[in-house]
Amino acid sequence: MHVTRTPIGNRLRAARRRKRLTQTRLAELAGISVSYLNLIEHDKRPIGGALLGRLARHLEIDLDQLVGVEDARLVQQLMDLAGEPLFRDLPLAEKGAQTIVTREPEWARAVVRLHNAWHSAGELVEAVTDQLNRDPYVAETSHEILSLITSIRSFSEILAEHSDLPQAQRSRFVSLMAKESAKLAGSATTLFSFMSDREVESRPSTPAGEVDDFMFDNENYFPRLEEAADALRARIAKSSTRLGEDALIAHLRKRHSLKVAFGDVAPDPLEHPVSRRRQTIDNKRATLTLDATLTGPSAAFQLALAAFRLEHSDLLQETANLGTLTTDDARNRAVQALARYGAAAVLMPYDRIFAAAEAMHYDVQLIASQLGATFEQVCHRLTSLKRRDAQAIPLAFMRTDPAGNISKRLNLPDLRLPRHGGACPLWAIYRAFQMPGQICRQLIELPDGRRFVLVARTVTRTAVAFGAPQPMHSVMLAFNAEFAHRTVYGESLLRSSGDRPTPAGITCRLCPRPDCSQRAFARIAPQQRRNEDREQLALDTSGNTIL
Amino acid sequence: MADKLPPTILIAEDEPHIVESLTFLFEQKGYSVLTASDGADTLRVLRSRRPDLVILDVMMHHHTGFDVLRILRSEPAIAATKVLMLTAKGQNAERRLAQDLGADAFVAKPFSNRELVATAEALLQTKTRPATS
Repeated sequence: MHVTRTPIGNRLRAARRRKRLTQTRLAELAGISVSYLNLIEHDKRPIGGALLGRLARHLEIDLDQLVGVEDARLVQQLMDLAGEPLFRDLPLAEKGAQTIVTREPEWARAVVRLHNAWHSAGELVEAVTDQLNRDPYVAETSHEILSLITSIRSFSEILAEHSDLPQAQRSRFVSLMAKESAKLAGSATTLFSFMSDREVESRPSTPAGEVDDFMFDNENYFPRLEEAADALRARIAKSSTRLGEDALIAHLRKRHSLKVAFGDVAPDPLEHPVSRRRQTIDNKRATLTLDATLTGPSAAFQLALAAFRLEHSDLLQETANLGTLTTDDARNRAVQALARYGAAAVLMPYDRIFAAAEAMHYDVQLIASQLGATFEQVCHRLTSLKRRDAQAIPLAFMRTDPAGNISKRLNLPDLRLPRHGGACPLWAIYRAFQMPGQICRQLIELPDGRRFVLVARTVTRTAVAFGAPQPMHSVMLAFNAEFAHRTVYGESLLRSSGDRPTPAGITCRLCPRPDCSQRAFARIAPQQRRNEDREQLALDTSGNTIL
Repeated sequence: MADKLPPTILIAEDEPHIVESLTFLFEQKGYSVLTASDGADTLRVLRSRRPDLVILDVMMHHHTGFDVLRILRSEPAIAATKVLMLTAKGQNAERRLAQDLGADAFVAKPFSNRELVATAEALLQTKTRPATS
């Protein structure tokens, strides 16, 4: 790491005073003039090399200490802090950090320590939020359990205290207790298995989270958008061949009098630049400009997106308004997501992609090549094939960058991807980065024994100049292993005896596997048991213990 | 109690087996017992039968116990009914809300029969509904 040196004057003067040396004496020892030493101590002259070594030797201090390696690290840490979005509006310059470190090193350390603690607290809050998001379900089940215990307790006390109960009533109370006990066991099992890793109910706290839930609640399938996409496709091209850039460009010109140009797309100053814009429409010049670095299928997608937005904006708004989105930001995001859905449906019509998927056993690369689409486009589109009479296997979808930032997620009812932070580091989606461009297939087993097949590959959407870093993502499909036989990925998995399932989880914070070598965070225990409970449970060898 | 009708207790609870055990308990003690299984039902019985005390569960369908309590205290004809709330153990927020809305006493589930009966009887012996904060 490059570190900037901090001015040496203060440290030199302090060290000299600790040694009880006058400027004259130290200058004499080091073989320099007093005025020169004075200039160094006031940071008016640079210092280095042999002289620095001599001064350190005569002051009997470590060279690193004199040079200020630790100080430089502190400055670096303060600058990390200055980079926090929280301080975006404060002009925190490195010079100021150096001044603080030099003059008040203890204050600098305190601030850095606070920054670290703040970070840890933030991570904890995120993980705890994940847990608390499931609150409504937990509250309801807890109430049910409490009621059952109450009734069992009440009956047992009646039986104990009223020895003169008529036989019939006694029998009834005993049988009710037995029934309630059985119900209690069921509720407790459900609650514990839920607490250990399943998410049943989850309240999102961000607009992006709300949109994720909106798509999930609709199973990522919108029949009216499918109809609109089919109609739009029919307007663009009569034949059922692949829809290419040319046909889309011609349509935009004919129907919307829009010229299409390829060039630089300036970021929208009003939008937070979460992801790069790929297109912009200049109404004055009647021009749609597309990002020139887009590869073929991605460019076609942007053209279809523009056409869908222009021709079905009312439907997009209406569909977004059907959801329970609470903010304008969330509704806008939903409209964008629905428009992308529409564009994908234009390029990959339902019947064609469904037929291809079934015929090719979900071989994503083959389907992509047949439809002239990208790997990611096909993965995403496959998750929306939910029409009753033509239903694909249930698929979850996820996209991440190499740093683990998840930018797209579509859950399955039995596989809810983590809302905060990264997923399980053992998942194929991360392994795919080690073998760019190749399919990475994996069978995982979750702590509760359920098995899923994961299929991941890295993808790039844009071309970059030589030497420039290539932006890369990894995308992944996941499906329950019970559907393995319907897919090309699962068929071979079932045949090969060497493929044992990887013991994995959903995310470290919720994963109970104590010996995992990839553990990044300690598990947050969903329920704090007292030690004696744990011992008691450990002693119970009946096999009926719920843990 | 010879020349006076026994006090009437309304048990408002949606768990039928809890209702059954509590009915047994209070009838054994000589009280007249009414029951209701949801919020709307509770209000109906309160208005028509005017019980002396209602044992009110916090979590019920069609108006929670809180809703019932709020409505009860706002209707002059039934506002003086004594209210014993059944809350969940450890839910301080529930307790505070019930108190703010004018509950007279609380018993947390899972309670013992003795605790519940003692609290109910103590409430019935107070002449008027104690002031609530």
